[in-house]
Amino acid sequence: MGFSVSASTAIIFVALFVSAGALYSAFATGGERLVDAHATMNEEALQRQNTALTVLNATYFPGNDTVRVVAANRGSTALSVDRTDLLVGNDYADGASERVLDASETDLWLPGERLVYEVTRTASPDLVTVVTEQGVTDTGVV
Amino acid sequence: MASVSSSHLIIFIASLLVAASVAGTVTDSVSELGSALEARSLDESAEIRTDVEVISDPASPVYNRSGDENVTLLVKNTGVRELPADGDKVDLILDGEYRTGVNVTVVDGADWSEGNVARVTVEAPGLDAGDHRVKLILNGDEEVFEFRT
Repeated sequence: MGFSVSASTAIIFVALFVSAGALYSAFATGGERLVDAHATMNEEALQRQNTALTVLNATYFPGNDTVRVVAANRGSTALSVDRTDLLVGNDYADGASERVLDASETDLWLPGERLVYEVTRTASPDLVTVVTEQGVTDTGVV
Repeated sequence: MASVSSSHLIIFIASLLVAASVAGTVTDSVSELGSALEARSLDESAEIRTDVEVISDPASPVYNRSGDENVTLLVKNTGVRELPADGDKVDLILDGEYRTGVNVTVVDGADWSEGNVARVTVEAPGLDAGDHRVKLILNGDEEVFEFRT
């Protein structure tokens, strides 16, 4: 009788031990995943706080059907040229050429530098909008 | 004496069976709980990493741009994960009314990955002149955009 109780208790104890291990593992993995996601988004939020830009100039040249937009990085973080977007009259400016003034072959738009867009349009748009990778925007009147 | 031993043996086997049954139930339940936690944490992590911004200019025409009475929004992926460019995964509420038939097209790449922009269109025939409000919900992230027609 005593041995039966001991054996049963041992079986249940082992099961509880295994279950506790599995539960801890699930909690730890899940918690770590959430903490990691929060940390990544906090970094993104910080970068967004440090991002600022100004559209300095937006001009339409009817001679060659070109809209030229100059924007300045007024923040304190480096931005990606590839991930910065231009909207011309609320249309995504696909095929716009983009370059950082005084720097060639770079994807970095550093603080204080100016980014120049040139895009072909047959008519002058009213507004242009430059959007950074963090979603920070500035709009200029053509 | 033999009957006592037999009784003890029967009780012993029965107790083992009961204990094994309880142990099996406990481990199964905990295993299911662990799987649920795992799945939930994956979903939560994806929701936290999702962020989009409507970058359309509200001062420029948003409605009926191409004459087909659509509302067209440009939405940028500002999160840290690739998003599904699938209209079924995007919930869109226009002036408090849930809209189906949402179309999502990535305009600057093959996938709606980090930094890419997608064009979200929804049919809205006969939208009255005045102020309008669009709410876009994608993987738990909500964006509100207001415009005038």
